[in-house]
Amino acid sequence: MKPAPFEYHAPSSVAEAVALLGRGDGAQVLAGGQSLVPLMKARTVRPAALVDVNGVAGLDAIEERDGALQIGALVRLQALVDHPGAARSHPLLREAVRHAGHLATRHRGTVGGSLAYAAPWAELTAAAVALDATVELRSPSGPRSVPARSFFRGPHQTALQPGELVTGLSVPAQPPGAGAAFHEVSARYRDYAHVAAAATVAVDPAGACRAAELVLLRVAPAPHRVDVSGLVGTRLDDAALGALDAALAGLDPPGDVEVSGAHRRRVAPVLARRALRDAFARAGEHREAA
Amino acid sequence: MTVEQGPNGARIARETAPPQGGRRWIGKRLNRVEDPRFLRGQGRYIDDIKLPGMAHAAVLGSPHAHARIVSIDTRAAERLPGVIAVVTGEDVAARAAPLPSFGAGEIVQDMIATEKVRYHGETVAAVIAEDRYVAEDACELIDVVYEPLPVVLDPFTAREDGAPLVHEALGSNTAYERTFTFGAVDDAFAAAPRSVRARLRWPRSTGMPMDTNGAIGDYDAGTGVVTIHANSMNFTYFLWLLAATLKIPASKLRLVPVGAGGSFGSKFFMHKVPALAGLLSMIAGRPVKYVEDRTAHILSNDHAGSDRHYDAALAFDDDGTFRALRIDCVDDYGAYLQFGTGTHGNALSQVVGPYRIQHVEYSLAAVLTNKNQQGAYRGFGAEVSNWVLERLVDLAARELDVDRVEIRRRNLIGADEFPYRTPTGNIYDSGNYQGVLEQVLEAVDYPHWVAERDRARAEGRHVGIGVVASNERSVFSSTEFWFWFDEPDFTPTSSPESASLQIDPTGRIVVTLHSQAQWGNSPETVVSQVVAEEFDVEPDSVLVTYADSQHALPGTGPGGSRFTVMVAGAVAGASSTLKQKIRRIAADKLEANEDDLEFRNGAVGVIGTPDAELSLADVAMTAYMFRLDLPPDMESGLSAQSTYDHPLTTLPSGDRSDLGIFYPFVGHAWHIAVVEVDPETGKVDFLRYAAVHDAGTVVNPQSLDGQIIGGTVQGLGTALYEQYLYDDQGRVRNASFEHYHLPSSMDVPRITVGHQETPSPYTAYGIKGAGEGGRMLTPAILSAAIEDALQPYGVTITTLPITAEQIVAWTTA
Repeated sequence: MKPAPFEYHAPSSVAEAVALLGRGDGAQVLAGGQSLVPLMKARTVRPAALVDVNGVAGLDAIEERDGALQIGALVRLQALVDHPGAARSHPLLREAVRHAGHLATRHRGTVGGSLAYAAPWAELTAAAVALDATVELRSPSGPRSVPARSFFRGPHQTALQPGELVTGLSVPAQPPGAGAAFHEVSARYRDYAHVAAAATVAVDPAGACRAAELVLLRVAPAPHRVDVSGLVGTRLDDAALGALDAALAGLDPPGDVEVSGAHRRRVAPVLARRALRDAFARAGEHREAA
Repeated sequence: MTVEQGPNGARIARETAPPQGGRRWIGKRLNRVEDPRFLRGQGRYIDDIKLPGMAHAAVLGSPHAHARIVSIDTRAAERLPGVIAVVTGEDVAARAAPLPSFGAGEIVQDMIATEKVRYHGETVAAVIAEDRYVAEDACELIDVVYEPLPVVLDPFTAREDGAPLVHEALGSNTAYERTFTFGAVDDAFAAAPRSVRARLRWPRSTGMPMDTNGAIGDYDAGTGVVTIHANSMNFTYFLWLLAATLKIPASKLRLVPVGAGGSFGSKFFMHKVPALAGLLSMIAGRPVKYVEDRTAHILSNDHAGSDRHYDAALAFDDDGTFRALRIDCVDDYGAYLQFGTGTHGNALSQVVGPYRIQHVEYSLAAVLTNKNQQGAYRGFGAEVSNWVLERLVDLAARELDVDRVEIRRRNLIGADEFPYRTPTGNIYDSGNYQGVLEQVLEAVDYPHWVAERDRARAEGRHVGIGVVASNERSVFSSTEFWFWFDEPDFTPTSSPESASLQIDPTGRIVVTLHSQAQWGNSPETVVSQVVAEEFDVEPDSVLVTYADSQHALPGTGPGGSRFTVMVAGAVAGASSTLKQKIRRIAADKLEANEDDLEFRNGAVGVIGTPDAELSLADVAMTAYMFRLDLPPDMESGLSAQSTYDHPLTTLPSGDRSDLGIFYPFVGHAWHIAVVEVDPETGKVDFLRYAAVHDAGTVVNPQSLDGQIIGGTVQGLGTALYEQYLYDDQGRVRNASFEHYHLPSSMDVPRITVGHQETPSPYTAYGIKGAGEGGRMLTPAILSAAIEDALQPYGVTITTLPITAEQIVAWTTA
């Protein structure tokens, strides 16, 4: 189980990395390598060249600005999980990303790699869509920003153009007092999500839902944003959540080697309800604490 | 130890009474002596070994499950710089014989397929190159033209007329079919007022060690000796068969044992990889290493586990007394039948479990399909049999609406009934089953959990309890591999184990073992403690080494939970000889009577006279260097060897109504699990798990705990996660750890382990084997506990693994 021959480049700047990627020789980016390297060893993926961005300066910081976050592409997933500011301003990121593989995987895996690889089970993609984040890209012709809600096109398919490098993720400020929750089922502890639900709920001073987001993984080709505007003004009681059933009834999730589409269809509403309820409860706790 | 004549000509070696004052080292909880080097990365696994001038091999597996090989063009691969040779089935056929087989009929398996491939991943070519990268690059350049053939994947379809034949020469896909009847089964079923019957399905899985199979062949053209460094191979039991495959004299096949990172039975007869590495070295004229990668291991190492379909029934009285058992099994053996149907012989050693069941019928059809062949995996078929039996017992309890513990208690063989002859002829040597049951019930506070379950159920939660039992047969006799056949070609009755002891001139003890090096079990710990017991030395002062096959005494290696029992017997025998010599030397020098001497703290001395003693170093120096101080008839040196034969084996009867004694040292265990099931997601959480085992005399409770926990976890994998998945063309869909799911440490409950000790009257020190017991219980206990948790849904669990998807399908049906 050895990779096919490849060239190896180790640039030290974004400009250099982008120049290498722009040569059009089928080069791929090596960041954490947690998906790419096993695929190369199985020869499922055989890039002619690797551009190892681990030595590129300036991509490994998490910056907080007025409630918004700027997350560098080389930030390791566990660093995001452990970041106290991010956990306060955007609890969904921590809730979601802590499910991404095991501790060792998260210490290697990167934010940029997770977004670019766009695995259908990647928890970060659901959080990015729920939080209406923007993926920052760079190519030889300059920077470009793509909203997460249009970045993910399907399993391992994104708006990323050949030669483009993901440089970061910017996440806008969230409504004050929002709660977040992430529920996932997988074959084993921290395995690939069979189905997952990411939810954020903000409440008004009276304790009713003011805004809500729900994104499901693995029920559609890409992270699936469910219209939950009907929950606004409610307290997410059974009747309000029952209305979700209509929104989820049309789902036709794909099956794969691990589980059937029918199983995903049965479990998705369960996780959706649990995530929304938990997010609502946490929003309530924030309100009381404030 | 004494040897006496037993029934049917059995030689029974009996342990003499334990010493006054008990034992000092056997039974002590000590850290494993193997651990430090393996945990520090100093274990020297097969892939760590690099010989001068060593080349590397990779293999090309078939993408088809059944296809004719039309042509193989190796030219492009041979042209790749760094490639030394490309080897196909034709090349192999010209130089080597087929792989060894113990199976039925015209089932021939070659190292590399010729003419046709019979399962996905079967080797069609091998490349020898300067490094593994180039070898794998070259595999991609081999152009094989296949003519796909219709596949047969389902054993029932395989038995129909007109089904595609896996082996045309056999004329049928049913390789073996027979019904064994023990007792008056039909009468017992007719007379019993009640019975339960179930169709049960046990899926194909495998042992899956971290360390895959690996070997380095090193051919010496000058002497004609083929040296193979390999991480498994039983020397005298199997190795001579491999020499026949390589068409060399057995004397010229030298196997150097290398420790393995796990086997769990899957390396019991590791035939393909050492044979290939040896042959490739003969072709290349230099050392060649071949280590399977994970995908090759999953696809083409034998699929170690069973793959069975059952129709099983249990007859019983209104009061729950079991009367008769009827088992009809179709076993999907895959494309070859190397081990024959030994996995069912194994099941027959304890087919009635710990229960008084008098009448048994056992039917088997061994069917060939386009899957890899089976091998050996912890339990070797008895774990499947126990799952079937315990499922039937749970169904009987439900039928009678009696407590599942109570119905079992009612049928347990009593402590006063041993040795107990089971209907098949195998005996259970000793036991106290009621004692183990009481201990496990106490360990978990069973009534507390029954109340908790009922309380949770009233709240709408889904908590369930499983309580199951198993016997654990240990130390197989070789008859288990052939009594299946009316006229077997080869009817061995030996399965010995040997040990050599040497005390060096400075008084340190070196033990040499004569099977493959350790597999992740604890041979060195066990041997050190037994030697310590015999000589009263510190266990960590004992060095344990492994002979290569040219210096090996008879050995059979680990398997069938035999090694601790057998090696302890061999060490006891060699120790006895050596101690006698030491006594004579010491008696002479101390001017004492031999009978007044004892071994104490690394010395030999006069009982009751602390000053009158000689250290082992003094004795050893005398033995090696002072010939004139020795008794005149004594040779210099201080070494002894012993070969310990199976202590209790009898032949099967000609008509096989009595299979003889073939697996007599029988441990016993109970597990209790409490689980909570999320009916909406199918997730299973453990609230409590306890295991109590009786493996006779315990050598080291810590390493035994490890065996029990490891086996339990592998059983958990079988119960909840593992199975080979195939597409409709017979291609394995989960040939990597991405989708072949082993339980991780985070998926495993905290397991409380307890021990009871009922010594065997027949083995050295009263030890029984205990390497497989854990896996014999987990599938049954998880079936029972999850079924109990889902009681409101009226679920009966008859198929493994019990996946989350299956649970959700039940609860939403």
